[in-house]
Amino acid sequence: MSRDKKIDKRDADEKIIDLDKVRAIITKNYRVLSHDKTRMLMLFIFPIVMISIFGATTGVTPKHLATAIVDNDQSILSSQMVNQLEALETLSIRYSVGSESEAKKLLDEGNAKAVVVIPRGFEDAVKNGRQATIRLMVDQSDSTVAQIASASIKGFITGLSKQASGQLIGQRQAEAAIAARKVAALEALLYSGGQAAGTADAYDLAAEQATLARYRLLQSTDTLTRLSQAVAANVYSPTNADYLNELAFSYDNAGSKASLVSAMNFDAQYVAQMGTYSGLAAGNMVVLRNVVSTQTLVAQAKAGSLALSAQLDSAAPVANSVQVVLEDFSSTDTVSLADPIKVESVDVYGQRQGIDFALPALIALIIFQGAIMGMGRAIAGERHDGSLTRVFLTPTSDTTILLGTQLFYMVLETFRAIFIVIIAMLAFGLTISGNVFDVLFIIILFTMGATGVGLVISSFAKTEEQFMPMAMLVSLPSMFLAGAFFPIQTMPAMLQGLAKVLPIYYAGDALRGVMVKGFSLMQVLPDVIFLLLFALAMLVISTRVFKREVM
Amino acid sequence: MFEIETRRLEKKFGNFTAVNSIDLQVKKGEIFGFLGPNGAGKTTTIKMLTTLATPTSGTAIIAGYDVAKEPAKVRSRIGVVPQSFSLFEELSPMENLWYIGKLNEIPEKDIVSKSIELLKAVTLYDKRDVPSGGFSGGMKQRLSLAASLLHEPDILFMDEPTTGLDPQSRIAMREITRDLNRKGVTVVYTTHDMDEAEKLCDRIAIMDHGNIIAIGTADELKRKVSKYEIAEIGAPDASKETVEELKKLSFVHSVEKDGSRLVCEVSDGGEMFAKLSDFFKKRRQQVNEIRIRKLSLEDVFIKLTKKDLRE
Repeated sequence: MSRDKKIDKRDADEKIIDLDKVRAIITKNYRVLSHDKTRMLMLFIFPIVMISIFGATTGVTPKHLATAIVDNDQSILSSQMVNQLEALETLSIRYSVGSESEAKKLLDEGNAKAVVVIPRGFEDAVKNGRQATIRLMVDQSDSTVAQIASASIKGFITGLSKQASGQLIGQRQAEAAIAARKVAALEALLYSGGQAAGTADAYDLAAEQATLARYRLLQSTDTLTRLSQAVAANVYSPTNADYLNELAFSYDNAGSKASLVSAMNFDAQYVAQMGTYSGLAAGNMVVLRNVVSTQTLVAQAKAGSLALSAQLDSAAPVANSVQVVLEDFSSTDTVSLADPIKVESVDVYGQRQGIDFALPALIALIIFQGAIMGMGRAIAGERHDGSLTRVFLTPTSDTTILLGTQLFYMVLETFRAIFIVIIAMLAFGLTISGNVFDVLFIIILFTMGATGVGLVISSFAKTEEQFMPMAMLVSLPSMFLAGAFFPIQTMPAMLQGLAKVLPIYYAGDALRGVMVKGFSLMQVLPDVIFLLLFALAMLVISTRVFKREVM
Repeated sequence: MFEIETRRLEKKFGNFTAVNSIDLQVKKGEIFGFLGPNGAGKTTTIKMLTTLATPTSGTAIIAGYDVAKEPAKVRSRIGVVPQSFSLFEELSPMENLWYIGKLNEIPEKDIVSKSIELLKAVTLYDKRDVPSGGFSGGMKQRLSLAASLLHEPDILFMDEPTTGLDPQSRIAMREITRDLNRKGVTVVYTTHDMDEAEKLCDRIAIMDHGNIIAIGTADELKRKVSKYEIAEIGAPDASKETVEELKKLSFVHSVEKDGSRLVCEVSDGGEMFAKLSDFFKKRRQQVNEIRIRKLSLEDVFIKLTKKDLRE
């Protein structure tokens, strides 16, 4: 026979990976999809619907949240504070109750979303420079509401605290200025007294101390001035930076970010000045001791010079009043001066993850579902309608068939993910904090694992009918364990454990890290490694279970 | 040298034996038919011969290569027209053929020229750029055939290619098949249409319950079963006595009652019609019709399997 004699190209060994055929499979899948306009449309409408729902439910700030007040102080200051809270757009004071337990009940029943507890002695503490603590409880079962209420109340109280801080510092400033004038007078007295008495030594020493005291006081005044400027320019304090961070992430707009950055810069200056102030307060203690010794010196000088006793009599009370001011200065608690009213958040239902983290998980979810369904159509579906039979009849290796199909869906899902990100950017002002290429890398890695799952399932399934329930079994739990709908941290330990073996958890985590927190790939390396290993495992398993048989 | 040769080829699904240890030889250039009712094991046999199913035991050598050991080499030498349409409905004939051509490693430039040639041959050239999902059964089957021929196979397997087609399409399909065969392609054809098998196939294997129960040319099969002709008599009132008397006639070799008809094996002879007519006239029994015909493959099948193919 002729074919035994000549070299027959058909006798060439089948290539395990034939890139030309891989390209042909990708082209074929693209043509099939591009001819099926309805399916194509659905693939891109679905994510729009999903992000629209998410955007509508999580991106918009809820307004007029029902709030309950427990005013244990019943003072002018506390009622002023309640009035100002009422003026906030996000809150609506619906209840004023007598006890914390009553308020907690309102919270449990869902009638109130937030509770603000004003402690007894609130006004007194604020006026006398002691730190007062407002307790805040929010309904954390609704994470969106919890975060908004908590952020807006904290923001408000922080502002209030700064106002009070400004007043206290102003008071101190005025006192310091008066004290400085008095010390100047004392200084003058001591100098003229010394000259007149001729007992220069004691008087000179006292006058020198007085000069030093005046100098110190002037420094204090100066610092206090700068402190009040810092307070006036900035209503935020370092302790609230974390909340501002969260707030900025949830709305993710450039404006709030910029103001946050400047607020943090002010905070830094503020902290530095507080430090200077503390140093000065310690210095004042030394001056105080010196002033006390000045009094002794004045007494000695008085004994030596009767002629000046009348003048010196008037100097003694001035020195006394300076002593009082200086004592007050050094004993002032710098923390309560900086932040007279503190908010203490009460975690009623445990720690929660905010909604700001939903979008990356949503992207991971859409990719995952799309990849599984797409692969199901490509492998189980084509097996079902017989078109895979035709492919089986060609000298094309299993690996080539699987690789070609998988690559097509990886490309498709990557495009869908990019599409989702663009829509989210345009419609909901999403900004990517990290490197866009890192985001792309994670997405591609994840599409590899996700299509791999689809590949394994469709290799197990003999028909498309078998494929559907199998795919549901994997994709439905993933939907809930992705962290898109519910924060994983609130789930029972067992479910958390389950979530942590799913690639979607790591994809969501890595995307969140890069997109929201601005991490680099190195910072999300554990996630990346898991995703890579998972994708490779799926690839190996699918080539093992894939059967080149037709039922 | 046989183009196809199997030895004790067997396929089991659990306890069910779909194909029971068949030995088979198909010569180069033959049109070989597999005849049998649905579930006889024809399609499973074809799947094993075309590498789409792994034999449970036994061997099958196709064009010199073992299906189990060198499936890729077998695949590059065979063409298969599966029972159902197995191309992409979203794609046009040209796109479908391009894809199959690429997977068969045909150079890009040859794919287009060959596709055009084949589409003209199966009269689908006018529809070359129309998505094939909207095609009629006959058009789909012709496209499927074109796709199987793209890589110029030595052996063409056709699994019930005419089932569900209208008469014109059936005839066209058979014509194309004969044409291919004349060009040297060995054809393996499965059908449950006796008439088609008889008209088209050089040799036929009759399958039932996974076994090949007879093999040979149509004439050989008939001779094996009976050397007589068949008389079909429409006699609705024929009594048992009449049937017994009919059997006693010298030229009648067997009588079977099939509803209102009597089916008899009769010796070849000129006066058969007159003799039978007289027999019933004498007994004053009504006869609607008497038809004398040659033995058909259907008769062979009924004889061999003790059942009607149409059941």
